[in-house]
Amino acid sequence: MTFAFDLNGKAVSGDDGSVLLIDFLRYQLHLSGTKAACREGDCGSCQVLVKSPAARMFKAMPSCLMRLQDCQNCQVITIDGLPKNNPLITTLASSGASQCGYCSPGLTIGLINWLLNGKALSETEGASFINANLCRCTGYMGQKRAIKAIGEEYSHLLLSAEDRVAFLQKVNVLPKIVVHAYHQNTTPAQSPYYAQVQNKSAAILAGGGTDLYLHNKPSENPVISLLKTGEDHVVRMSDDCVSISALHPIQLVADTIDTLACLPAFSSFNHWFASLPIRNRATLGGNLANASPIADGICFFMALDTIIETNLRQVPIGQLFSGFKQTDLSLNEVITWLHVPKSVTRDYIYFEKVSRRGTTDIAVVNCCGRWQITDNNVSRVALVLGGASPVPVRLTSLENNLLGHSLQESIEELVDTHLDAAISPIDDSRGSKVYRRLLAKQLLLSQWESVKEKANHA
Amino acid sequence: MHNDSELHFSGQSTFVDDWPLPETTLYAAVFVSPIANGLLKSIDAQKARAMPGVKAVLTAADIAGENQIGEIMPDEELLATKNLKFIGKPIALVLADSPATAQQGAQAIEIAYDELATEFNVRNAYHNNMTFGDERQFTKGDTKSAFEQAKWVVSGQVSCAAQEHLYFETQISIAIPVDKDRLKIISASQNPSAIQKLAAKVLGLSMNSIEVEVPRLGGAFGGKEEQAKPWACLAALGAQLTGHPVKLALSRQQDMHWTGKRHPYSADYRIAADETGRIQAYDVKFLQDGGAVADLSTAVLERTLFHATNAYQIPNANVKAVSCRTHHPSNTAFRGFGAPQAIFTIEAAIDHLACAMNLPRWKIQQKNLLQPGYRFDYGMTVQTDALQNCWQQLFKHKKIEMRLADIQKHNANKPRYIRSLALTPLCFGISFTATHLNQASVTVTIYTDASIGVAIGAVEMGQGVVDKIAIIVARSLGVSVKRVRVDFTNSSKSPNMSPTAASVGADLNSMAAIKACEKLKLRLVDFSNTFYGVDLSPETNFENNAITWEDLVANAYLQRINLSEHAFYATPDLYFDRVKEQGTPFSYHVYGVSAIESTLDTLLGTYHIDNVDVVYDLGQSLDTIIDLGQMEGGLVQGIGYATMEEIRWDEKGKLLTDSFATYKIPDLLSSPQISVDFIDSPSNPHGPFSAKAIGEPPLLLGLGAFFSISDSIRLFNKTAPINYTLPLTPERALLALYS
Ligand SMILES: Cc1cc2nc3c(=O)[nH]c(=O)nc-3n(C[C@H](O)[C@H](O)[C@H](O)COP(=O)(O)OP(=O)(O)OC[C@H]3O[C@@H](n4cnc5c(N)ncnc54)[C@H](O)[C@@H]3O)c2cc1C
Ligand code: FES
Ligand code: FES
Repeated sequence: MTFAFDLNGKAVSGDDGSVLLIDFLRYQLHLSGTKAACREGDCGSCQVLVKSPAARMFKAMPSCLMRLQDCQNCQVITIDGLPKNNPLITTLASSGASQCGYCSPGLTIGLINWLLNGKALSETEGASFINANLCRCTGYMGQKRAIKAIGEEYSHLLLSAEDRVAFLQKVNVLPKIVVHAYHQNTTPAQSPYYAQVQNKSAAILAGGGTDLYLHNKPSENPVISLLKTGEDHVVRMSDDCVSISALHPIQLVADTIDTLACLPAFSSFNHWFASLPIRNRATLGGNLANASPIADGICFFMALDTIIETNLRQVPIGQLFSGFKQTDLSLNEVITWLHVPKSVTRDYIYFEKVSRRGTTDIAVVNCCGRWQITDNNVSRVALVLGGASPVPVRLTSLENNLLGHSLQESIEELVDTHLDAAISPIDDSRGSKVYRRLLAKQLLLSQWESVKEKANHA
Repeated sequence: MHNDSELHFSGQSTFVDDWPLPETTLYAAVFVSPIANGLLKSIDAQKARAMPGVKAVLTAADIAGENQIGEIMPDEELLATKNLKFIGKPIALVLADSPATAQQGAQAIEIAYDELATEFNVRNAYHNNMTFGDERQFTKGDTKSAFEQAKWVVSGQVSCAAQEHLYFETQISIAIPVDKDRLKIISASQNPSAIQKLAAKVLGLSMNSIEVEVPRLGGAFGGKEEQAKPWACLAALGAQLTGHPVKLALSRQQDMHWTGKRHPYSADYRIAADETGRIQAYDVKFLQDGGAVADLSTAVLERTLFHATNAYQIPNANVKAVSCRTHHPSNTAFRGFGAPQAIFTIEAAIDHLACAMNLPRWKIQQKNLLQPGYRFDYGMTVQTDALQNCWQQLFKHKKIEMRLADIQKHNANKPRYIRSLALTPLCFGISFTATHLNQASVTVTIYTDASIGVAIGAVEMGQGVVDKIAIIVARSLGVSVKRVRVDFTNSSKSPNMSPTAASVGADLNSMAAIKACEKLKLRLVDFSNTFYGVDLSPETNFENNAITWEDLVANAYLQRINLSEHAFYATPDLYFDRVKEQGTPFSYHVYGVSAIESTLDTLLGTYHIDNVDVVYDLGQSLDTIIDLGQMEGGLVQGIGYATMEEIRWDEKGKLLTDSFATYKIPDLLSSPQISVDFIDSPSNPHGPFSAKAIGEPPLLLGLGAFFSISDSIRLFNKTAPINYTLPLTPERALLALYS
């Protein structure tokens, strides 16, 4: 498949769109400023800025998990395209945020991404933007000093700037390339690629590719990209449903939900999900189709009684999964929408996950609860655990026994009675069976703590 | 500040993987042993050789020189002939016209082998006499009677796991053949001269045929001291036999599977104290998992012996240590070099004692801190009261007692989130314990345009040695640092280099640089006195002098004054007698104390290291931003080692945690706020301009994270078993909370 896009203000094109962007930059164009330390989305050193025609803004993305065809018609800015005598780099250099320097170009891109997309430019926000920029040398205090200095230097200017790109171009932080205007996406909700999909029996469906392109598994089969970057049709509200696109990047979904204030709990899901550059590519469709026992999306949306829409049918989320990493999706069936019943969005929803590092890490066990409390008693509850069985499970027998339970009482005994039979954890590199079992219980107790605290505040 | 910082942040600094390559370059892939122990019977490379794009497949039979790269012991073939000792042992080298083709070629190689029994448990290895070298023992006083008489005696076991270096730049080398029998190697190595020596040996050439250059390293932490060798030698072999430049780069997974880690240790301790908590005796035995080949294991073990009593005065000590052979990839140097395991063990023993005596741990630590005049078991004497100073300053300036009281109040009602604060004092000896390595040679050259070039025998890997040398040279010559540029490290410019390690790269090379500059400056001052007829002093600063630096240099050149000077430095007075186990192995000690505060969620077993306060005896800092960076980075690496960084293997020795996704290092949000006070101590004749080393010690100050979390666990669960096992992962924490 061919590719054509704009790289640092110049048109590039070619025949083999399956090459990874990082390899194209480093080994074909010899733009070796962009570094790769992990090649699986985990370190942040390979970040580049990408703006698709249907997006308003450049976003940081991992070039190790993108093929050239994923850049089709986009504008890409890499570290090698930044202007010389860049004032941002001068500030960064004096903060002590660099030692060996291997992670440094990625950090520069991560910080520019913050200046472009940050809402507050506060220290906390800065930290959340560059948390995916791992560093083995510095211990991150230099990064924190840099965030503070840059935040102070740019916030008053940027927050009032009408056009941040133009402003950052003016002050020599971004290159003075002609930025493509924002095109409202005219693709209707039902887009023509369904036809494309149905025609190709051996095609590989790709969302953001954050799972598919790991270790660049070679494949002869053509890849059909389902990812939509347009800022329309991300979330639809109807009388009885909040409908969420399965084909847009998760961060865009979170931003849209935030604006519509239609599902507040999603922001905590988003906070725990991967890292910003990954969320700028990963889709909910990919998260569900992957059917991983620790997929945060499955856990979260299962607790919300979500109906999954595909190009062929509508199905309750619980019926989609048939076993470890297995779905009952038929060949070329595309997940398109997640419909969350409005009635559940008003419940108290609490999503929590435990991982080794806390942030930017895959869960050992995750848990989502949805609660309704009436007169200090549980009147409705849904509980889902991931990472404790081959597929995330709904704890129906525990739920049934919790109905009518008073907030004054402990739930430990109920959990002890009903949990064991419902789960079947395994040992792997992230955690032992024993640990997972204990953690599952503790996460349920933590749900209860959270519900009580919520009730106290209400 | 790092001079290269702006280059780094703009992506303009060149690493080995960025080196421009000739079009004729071949790419190498390595075929390695898939088993941890076995005998190789045959290699079938027919399919690989037949693949389009594959130019050659090389095995041990193709080696013209000696197939041996072990240094301390000759137990490491470059390419295996018969014995397969660990997963990742190179067997064959595939050269192809693209990296992907080379990897496919390597996958097409087939071997026949007999599998043998494996041993991954260091205690079993020890009982089966699988060891490298003899058991070593340091003794002081009479432990036997001290244990008999002491009021309090506790004993137990400690276990320290492996740690992955996770340098961001993986192992990589390029070899470029020139002439008939010359070779230039560009390698990501901390040890360029060793690569020169070993490549020459393997290729059957003399060292003067081989030039090794290292531009800079994308992190190393000890992992590129010995373990860059095989890849550089293999690239050299490929270049010699094909006549093409060869590039060999390991992928992240290959690097993690095939290279060694920090040594796992298992230790038994016994410690005795009187009724006031004064330590009377310490008895410890360390079993080190050296992995499959000797590598640097015995040298690492030696530093364990030196640091067994850390920062405490112990009248009677009996310290034993032995390096054991297992079937893990050979474990190797890692920042701290055997000291972290030693220091964790004594801190664990003191913690155990504190629990038994029902005293706060810090009171026992405080009571036993080193005082001037104390003699270590290996013969050196404590010279300063720097450690006492650090401790007192920390308590005073960081309000430790007040904070401990606050924390106690916070924890009083057993809240869900329990907080704790742990102190770690540190004493770390500076020098290579292999005395002969304490040497460096530096050449300072003033070019005719008045710019200054410096060739040093140390490799820049983020520790700022290049900047420190530039500062030293500028100060010594009396010119602006802007005029000075330190060359990429090159074995032909700085011959017979020691590895850049042991925290002494900056010390040794700075001392040599100062000598070179002094000679140069004297010569220039003499010249200017005769030539201009003015009386310049050796203290002259040429940036505000009537005779400009440019003018002086131009005239000196025309008058045929030598503008280049080479100097050599060997640390004086070092020796160590390995029969008596006595001597002066270090040129000085550094001291520091850290306070680590953490919060534990007792419901979920997750924790956060909130803040770290450090007081460190740095002497006169040459560059505070660089030194601060070493402190902050080392601390977080140490905290990672103590908490989340966990390596898992399956029962066959295959690494399970082979990626950034499964091997977790701290990220920004999980890392603490760090506040550091450097104290200027009086002059240090062994450091340049009285500076002191700071490369490795900070990592040790991070170990307190373990005790900070385990204190909270014990507050929640009084009956939690005392389990001194590193790392204290959230899994271990939760299981201990509810055991
Ligand atoms: C660094 C990193 C961190 C991560 N962190 C998390 C985390 O915290 N939590 C978590 O749950 N996951 C995490 N993941 C896993 C992964 O990113 C998510 O599962 C992501 O949502 C996958 O979406 P995608 O669009 O990138 O999927 P892709 O990689 O494009 O596709 C994954 C699979 O789904 C199929 N597919 C994709 N879209 C559809 C569709 N619409 N309909 C049908 N089939 C489809 C593909 O054919 C493929 O088989 C992480 C991954 C990385 C690399
Ligand atoms: S190389 Fe690590 S995120 Fe891409
Ligand atoms: S500076 Fe070395 S990895 Fe960040």
